[in-house]
Amino acid sequence: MLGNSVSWEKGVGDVIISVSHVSKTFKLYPSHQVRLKEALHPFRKRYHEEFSALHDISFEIRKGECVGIVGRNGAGKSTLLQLIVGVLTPTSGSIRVGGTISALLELGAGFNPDLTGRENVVLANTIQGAGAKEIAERVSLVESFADIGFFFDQPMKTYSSGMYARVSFAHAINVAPDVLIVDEILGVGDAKFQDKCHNRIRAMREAGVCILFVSHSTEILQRNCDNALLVEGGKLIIHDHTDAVIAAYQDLLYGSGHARKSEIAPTVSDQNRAGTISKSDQVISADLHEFINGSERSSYRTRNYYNKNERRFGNGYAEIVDFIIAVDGQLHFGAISGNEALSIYLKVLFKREILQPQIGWAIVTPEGIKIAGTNTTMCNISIPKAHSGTTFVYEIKILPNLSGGDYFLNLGVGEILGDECCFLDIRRSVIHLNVTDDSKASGFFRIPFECQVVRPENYE
Amino acid sequence: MNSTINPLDKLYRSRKTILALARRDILSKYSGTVFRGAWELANPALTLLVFWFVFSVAFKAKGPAGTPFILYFVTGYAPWLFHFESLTRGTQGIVAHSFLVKKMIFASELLPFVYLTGSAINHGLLLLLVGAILLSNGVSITWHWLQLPYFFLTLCAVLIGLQWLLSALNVFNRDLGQALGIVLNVWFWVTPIVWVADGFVPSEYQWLIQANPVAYVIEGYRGSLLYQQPFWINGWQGLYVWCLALAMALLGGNVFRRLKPHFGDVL
Repeated sequence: MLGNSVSWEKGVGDVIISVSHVSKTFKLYPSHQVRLKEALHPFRKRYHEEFSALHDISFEIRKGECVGIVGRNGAGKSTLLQLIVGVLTPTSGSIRVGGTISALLELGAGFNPDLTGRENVVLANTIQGAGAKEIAERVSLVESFADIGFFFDQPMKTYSSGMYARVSFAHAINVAPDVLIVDEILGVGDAKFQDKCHNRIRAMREAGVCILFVSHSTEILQRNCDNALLVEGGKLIIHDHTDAVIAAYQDLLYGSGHARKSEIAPTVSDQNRAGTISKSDQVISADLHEFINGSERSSYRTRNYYNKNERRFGNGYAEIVDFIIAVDGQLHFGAISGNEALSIYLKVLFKREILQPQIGWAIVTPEGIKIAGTNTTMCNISIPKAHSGTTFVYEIKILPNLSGGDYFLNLGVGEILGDECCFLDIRRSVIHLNVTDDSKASGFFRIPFECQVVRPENYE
Repeated sequence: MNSTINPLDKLYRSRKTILALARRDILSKYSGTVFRGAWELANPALTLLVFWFVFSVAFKAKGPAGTPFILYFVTGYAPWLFHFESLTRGTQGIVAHSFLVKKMIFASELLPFVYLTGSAINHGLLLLLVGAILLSNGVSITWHWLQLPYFFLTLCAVLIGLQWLLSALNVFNRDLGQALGIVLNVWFWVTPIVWVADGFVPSEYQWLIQANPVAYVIEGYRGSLLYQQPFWINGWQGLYVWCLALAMALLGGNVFRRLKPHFGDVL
């Protein structure tokens, strides 16, 4: 997988971080005294208990790549970053980094709270071996980027956490690193500063800096990262495109923990059927009638709006076996016009009894940005309980009001359990909506718009 | 771990870091005071004044061979103060620099050098004062004064291992810092700083002075500044002190190396 370390350091190939078969086991001690006793024991007697934080992690990151790390609290994300930075050493396996690292591991790490922001930045740069001229340059860059006014010359113990984050981030980016590592601390900055940071991160990426960061914000990850890593229970679950990783992460949080491929083979064929929820008065065509009352066989794959690159997850207690788009009671294929009402019929097969089902949808852009979405819980629409083995068909009726372009539709069935929602079957980007461009609006939405002259009056 | 890097080379390459941290340490010691660095000299000067008054004026004490007491005392007190200061502060070194030790890649083994450097600056200032006192009392400069760096380096060598040992242990047990205060107090009085070793200590206790590395250095300072003694006059003791320093460095270095991975977790 890797060349020898010499060619590595010279940067042959563009892999900049290589983690291979890394495991980390922490030693837990009942007290500091016991820790001291073990460390100095002449016969190396063991007093500790072991805790495995990371297990056999391998991945590579290339130059200029921006990689997000997601995972639940305690999954091992920060440990992984600390290993890459070199603050911790792996118990087994090896890590190679072909360049200088600048890391923001913890708010205020490396700064002495008794010193002012300026003094700390000078000290940190001196320790890193910068010359006097270089230091002066960097300090003024940090000062202007952090933009905290006269606080820059106040002791850091008087700072708010946002100010800490500003100075820390400004310092980290101004030491000209090859790799920037950020552990979830930007969240304390205000929106404007965060935006500034993300712009800078993007600029650094374009300049070839490799960026690695932990975030719980799926939006930030989607906006900044090409790829992402999902860490769970000390193991690397997937290393893939950000979208796929986020889907798997959300499955982990809300679903069963097993992201599935979109392969559905209906096994139960109980004929106990319910009608549509929103019973429309309109006449429906024969083929729509056939869809509603027909079998649970999936035929969505044959329809042109089906996106075979959908991402699907959930615990499988219910399955969206089929879906179809209708306009004015007629099955509809092909492009839609943005200002006509759409009905999406969702055929759901329940495999267990679900007391409080929830139906939801969202419209996303091809970049993965959610531009609209809601669900039955948010809108206080009550959905009846579903028995095991029953099939329901739900009609979701929306007026999209979209301007021309490509969009994707997410569909999902969940279950309300107290305050939480458990994902039964979520199908992200399952429908490709091609909205015809009538050149009457730009952006995402058509917003009703009027414009008229009110002065001068009666102007002709 | 990294045997290919010569430790002295590493030390040389880290000189900027050491200087910056030493400078920072001195500045922070007097942060919030009006007179700042002036205290650095005012402290020992006032101590000298008190000792001079008590021993010279009140007790009418004299140094050996009729040397004025103040000259005898000041030549011993200057190296002692260096020893005292760098050891007290050095023991707290890792705790005081926890912001660099935690979650950072920092060569904490450099910290003893930081404290030696910082204390050396004070020591240099104090030596200027000592020189002024000596000259004003009619002592003339001889080539023997050039021996001071040797004795100074000897003391540094002893202190490095000791600082590694104590600063690492102090991370785990802060009682050490308290205990050290008492130990140093006793150490001060068993070292011939205010009293004269010859003819004062019974011969069966002379070994105590011989074994005390600080006594060797202090006598060396005096010999050089006051008595025109060449440094090889105490050759065997010198050899012993250097062996002790080496043993201390091996012990301290080993303990430090074993405990270093735990610093971040304990601080």
